[in-house]
Amino acid sequence: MTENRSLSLSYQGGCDPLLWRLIERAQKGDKAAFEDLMVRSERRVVSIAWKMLGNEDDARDAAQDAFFRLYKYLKSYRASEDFDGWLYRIVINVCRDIRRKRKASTVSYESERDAGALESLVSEDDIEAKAIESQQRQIVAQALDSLSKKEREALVLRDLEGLSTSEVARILGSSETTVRSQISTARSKIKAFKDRLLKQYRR
Amino acid sequence: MDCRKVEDKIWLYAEGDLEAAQIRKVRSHLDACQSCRKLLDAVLESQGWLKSFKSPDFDETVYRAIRRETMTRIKKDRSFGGFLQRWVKDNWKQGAACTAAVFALFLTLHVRLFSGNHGGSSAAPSNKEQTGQKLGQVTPAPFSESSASAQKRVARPHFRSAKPTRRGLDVGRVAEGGAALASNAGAIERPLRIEIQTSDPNVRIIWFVPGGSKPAPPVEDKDTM
Repeated sequence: MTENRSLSLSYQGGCDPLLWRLIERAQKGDKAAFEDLMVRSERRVVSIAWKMLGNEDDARDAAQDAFFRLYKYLKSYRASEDFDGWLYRIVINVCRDIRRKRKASTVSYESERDAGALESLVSEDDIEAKAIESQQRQIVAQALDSLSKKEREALVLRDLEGLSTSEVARILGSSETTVRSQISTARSKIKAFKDRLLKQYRR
Repeated sequence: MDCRKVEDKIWLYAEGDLEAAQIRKVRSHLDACQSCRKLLDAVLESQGWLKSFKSPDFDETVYRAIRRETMTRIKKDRSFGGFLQRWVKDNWKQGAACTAAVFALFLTLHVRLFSGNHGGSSAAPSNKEQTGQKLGQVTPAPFSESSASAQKRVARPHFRSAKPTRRGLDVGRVAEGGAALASNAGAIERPLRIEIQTSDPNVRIIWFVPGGSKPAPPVEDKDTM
């Protein structure tokens, strides 16, 4: 059983004091402070967006939109709220909007090769390992794509981002019971997808 | 707890998402049931496979590009054009209401100015005026600002045809718009006065039909009332 990773140091009490000082400066219009906020959160934001949307271009657009919304709504943020959870909510909403606008495509080994991502690889083993990794990523992305929007969001936040069910419920604006039900269904669907794929492969 | 219930709960049990009391029940069932233990192993394997899904390691240039593009967008938003765009987006309802009000005002002014240029024609005397008017009395044609419908009748004053009565001719009055008519119908010996207000407020046609003589042939107003 996995451990639950808390979002930030002061999860129970809201925002971390150091972080709050940075946010306050950004709220007052300090551009450098806002950039520091972006640097602090960008990897996580891009990671979630990629898991939700399945490809780099969409993930980049989502990250940009999310940071722009963060800038627009930062003044409404209060220290009593959990900043990371608040940011997650923004990213989820942005991803929903992007998915609505365009059909999410999954990363493929071919597209990575075309993008020149494998140019820096040195040996054949290296290339093979990367190719396998890329293929696995593609399969899991397809499995996630087979879920409903709410199941996908709940599963990505819980199993891939490691948040607790109560944190997931707060971010998605649902009850814990609903989130547990969505996660349970999502996990069984993922397993069913994987079993079906293995069966096809073994034929 | 039976196998069916455990199969439902195993997905949450595997990741510690059950409440403590339920965890104990599932655990005690698993201790006794081998098939449910096999199912748990399969679930854990699937979860392991899922968690191996890691987003690719993006280069620092990707993150720098995201920051740069975001700051450019923020700068654009802070400019006057961005402010205007935002204001329109946030206040479009008020803007639409103001536009509609301005348009309605313009339309009203246009109609009034337009009708004023063509001269007003008198409005029809109201029912009260008609009933209150005494026989033999000359009533000045009431003048008021015309409505759009009255403008059509400006060039063609109209009146109803005279109806023969026991006492003689009784010239009817116009019911609406256009000319006003006054008559001093009464004893047939007295001259009949017919008064018509034209579109020009300063011009009124008055003629007298002498009493005892044949009345003027009735001019029928063919306008639909």
